[in-house]
Amino acid sequence: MTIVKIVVATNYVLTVSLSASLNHILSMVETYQLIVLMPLFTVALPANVSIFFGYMMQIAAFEIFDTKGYLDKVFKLNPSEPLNGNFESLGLESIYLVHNMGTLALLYVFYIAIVAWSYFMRLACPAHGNTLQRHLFWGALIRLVTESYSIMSISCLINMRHLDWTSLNLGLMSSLTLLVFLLLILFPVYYTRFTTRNFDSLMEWKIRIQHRNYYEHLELRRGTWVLL
Amino acid sequence: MRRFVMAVIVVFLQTTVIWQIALMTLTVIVQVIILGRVEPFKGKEKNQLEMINETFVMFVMYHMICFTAFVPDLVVRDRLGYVLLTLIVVHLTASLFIITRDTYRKARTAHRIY
Repeated sequence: MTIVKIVVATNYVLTVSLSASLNHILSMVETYQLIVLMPLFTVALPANVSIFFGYMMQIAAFEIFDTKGYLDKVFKLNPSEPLNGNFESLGLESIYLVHNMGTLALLYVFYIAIVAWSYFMRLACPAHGNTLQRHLFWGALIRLVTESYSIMSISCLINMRHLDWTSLNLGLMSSLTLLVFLLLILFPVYYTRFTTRNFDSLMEWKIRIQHRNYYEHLELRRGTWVLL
Repeated sequence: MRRFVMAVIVVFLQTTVIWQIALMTLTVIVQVIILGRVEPFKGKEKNQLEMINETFVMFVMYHMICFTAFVPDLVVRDRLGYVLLTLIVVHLTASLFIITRDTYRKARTAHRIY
């Protein structure tokens, strides 16, 4: 009886907290991601605004951990100057993609680790492995890319201005930047094409469970171009 | 896609602040027009909420214009900074209120089901 109560209570909390609030919270975070990037214009911000936006950026960029020292040890790159003071005050203190992305970069590493683990799971237990992979491809990836799109774009384009192939680590970072740049361009294009082609079967369970994060909140009958 | 355009504006047009602001204002206006004409989201409330968010973005954008040489007085800029911060706090409070209200409604429905 206690177990049933725990299950019901957990289900209750998850239903309430995840399905109702998460979409609203993410929508709010997306708006703030747009707003916190505005001080990056070449304007002279008053000190009060600059400090406030610096704190807001930590929320909008999901900056939970201080990754700077850790990433310096892993990539062993020379310290770099920020593009200007406004970038520095918002926490974009480097020209390197991974350093500017911070916690989001760790989330991507975590995602790749789970994907690798899902393949092992599939070998050991095909039923559970398939279920896990159905959620990983593409539901989790869509959510991750969508929420990190602004920060990833800025970080990628900053690094695009300073592509350098003179050493192994710098070459690795530059290759990664080009890869992310391709992802940023191809992701919306691919999904618009995908949705247009599969418009009639979007509500089918198999497609919906995998891709719904990208189109579920949109009224696609008004035209699939609204995805862009 | 708009967020990518904004990133391009911010990173590659650093020497021309007038173009940065003009292009950003243009993207916001286009977004508001699309939201108003097409109503791309499911449900009237979601569309209205997005419209409020975009209007808020537009207000912040207009404040950025005041932080250029357009307003040379530093004291005025400082005060405008406080106005901007007040605006953000009001928007944040309203957003959190809507989230709490929806969570409460959902909780009430879930409570009836269980």
